[in-house]
Amino acid sequence: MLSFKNVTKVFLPGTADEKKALDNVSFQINDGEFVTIIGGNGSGKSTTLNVLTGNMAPDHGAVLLNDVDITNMPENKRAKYFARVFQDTNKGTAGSMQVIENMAIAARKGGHNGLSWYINKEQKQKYIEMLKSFNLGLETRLTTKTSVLSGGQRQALTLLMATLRAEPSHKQIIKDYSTFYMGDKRKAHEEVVKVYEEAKLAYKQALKELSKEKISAKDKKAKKRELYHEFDAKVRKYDLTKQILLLDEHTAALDPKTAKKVLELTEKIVRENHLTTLMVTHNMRDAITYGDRLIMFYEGKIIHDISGDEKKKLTVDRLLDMFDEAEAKSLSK
Amino acid sequence: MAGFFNTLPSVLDQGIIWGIMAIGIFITFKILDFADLTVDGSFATGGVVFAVLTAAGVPVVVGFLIAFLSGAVAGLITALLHCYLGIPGILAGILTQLMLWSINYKILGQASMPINSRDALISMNASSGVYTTIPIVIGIAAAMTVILYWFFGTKFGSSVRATGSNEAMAKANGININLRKIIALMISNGIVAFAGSLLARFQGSAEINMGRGAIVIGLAAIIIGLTLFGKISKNFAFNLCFVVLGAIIYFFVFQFIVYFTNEPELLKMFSAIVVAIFLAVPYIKDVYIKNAKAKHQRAKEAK
Repeated sequence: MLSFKNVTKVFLPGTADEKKALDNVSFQINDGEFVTIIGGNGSGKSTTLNVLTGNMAPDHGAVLLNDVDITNMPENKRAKYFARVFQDTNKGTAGSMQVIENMAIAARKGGHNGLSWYINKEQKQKYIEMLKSFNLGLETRLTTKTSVLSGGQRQALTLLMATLRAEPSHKQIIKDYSTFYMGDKRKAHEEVVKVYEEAKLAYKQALKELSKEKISAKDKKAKKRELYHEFDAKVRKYDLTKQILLLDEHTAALDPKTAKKVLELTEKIVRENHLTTLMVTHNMRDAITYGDRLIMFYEGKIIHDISGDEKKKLTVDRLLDMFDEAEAKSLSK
Repeated sequence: MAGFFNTLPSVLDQGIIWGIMAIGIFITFKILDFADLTVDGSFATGGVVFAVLTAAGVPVVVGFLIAFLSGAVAGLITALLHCYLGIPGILAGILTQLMLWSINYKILGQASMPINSRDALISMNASSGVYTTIPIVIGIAAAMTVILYWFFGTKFGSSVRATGSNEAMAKANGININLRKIIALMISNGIVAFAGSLLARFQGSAEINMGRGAIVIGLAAIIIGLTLFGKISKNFAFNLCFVVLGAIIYFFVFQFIVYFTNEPELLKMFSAIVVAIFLAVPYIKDVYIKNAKAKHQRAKEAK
């Protein structure tokens, strides 16, 4: 769960150009929700995302991930919780680096950057499979620098990279689980440690038994790997920190046909990975078509928050009426 | 003319040594996308540190190593000024360079100091030294190429490249960009200072002004090398070799000019002109020639 608590952000305070980008904004987004955010220029949509990722610090208020205050967490530390795709198609990838190098970097989000070679055979195969499944023809352009790809291809690659991250270690999973668990954190810690110890014990026991069995070394190795996967899966169930996808008008710079393709890809990726998603858009039709919930910003405030059946019934005309109402209200003040 | 050819082995040595320095500049200029002017100072720092140490009886190899480290410290200062005090990159480099001029003078205690390199393997003073220097400096350049190829292919190295290529992307992928800049600037200036110590050894003297214009020579080497040979291969290791070749070509052309005009003072102007021309070529191609062609095309169509 992700929430804003009374967040205020003022640009150029104390000057004639003072602008309240966010005015005491609060909202809550549940895990797995796909939210579209709509609003005019300077209404606070992008500032919301900037405050979320730590790119900007709010003047007042707090950003919470589950119920943990992350307002003061630096941007690079937050990267493992948020993946962002920008409008500018050059922003999401390192242009002078190859497709595969970009993917490898994205796959280390939240992990370590040691002095081992940047990729191994297994990972390379995995990335190729991923690219193939998206059907963009990128799997044959692994060593192409991303600056020479088309804008649509780059945006699709950025989306794909957004879903990648480093697999957290068991230690990290235990730590995150006890930190981000909503409710009794101590109990949660005891529970996850208990499960971990038991799984580890069972794994070691199984290894011991395996060493007594009389099978070929090759079979033994395969069995060993299987046992480890079993153990690993038991712990990984407690991995609470799924990435939250932030889309910042990510199709605005593309032609309509490519934009549609990228949006469909977005939908596919979000649904398949059950990603919590915030999609900022200027396109009302897209805001209605995609997502389970729609939030409308006006002058730094949330003026509408529509979900469920009501969202399904929305039309572009109705949205336009809502904008006009808001404008009339603010003018009459 | 025979006199001219006799100078060539020494010119080759110098070219390769400055080529090693250009490899250091390549790291900041090309990989990190940071115009680092510290090098004018750190090149001399390497030379003077080496001179003082060897005069005190420290083994030559240790002298090289400490020269490298002193350059790395210079790079660290620039990085800290830039990353943590918000000073723009170019200015941070200039400030460190200025500081280093005084520091170098303090280290050396005088404006220049001779180094005894009469029977040395790297030396231009003994006539055989000019020839033994060639394989040694080629070996050093090759080793450096291999090490850097490995380093920038590792997870950490590729995160440094990402930082130079797109800071926003690097940050969004959890990379601590300040740490990457610090490390890259330290390695770069370490190599530059090491090249300074090599040159001091080769010349048999260290001077506090020996680094003046080093950045321009380095850029000239990079630009000449990549413009002339860049089309052959985009491979990182090859690019480093091209940079060294660029430095060698630069020094041959320079020697040619000096020998026939007998005015070594022209070096600096020559360097600046070369860099300006090579930097301007892509722009001229893009703006003037393309525009002229388009104009021509339009005129044709109008007819």
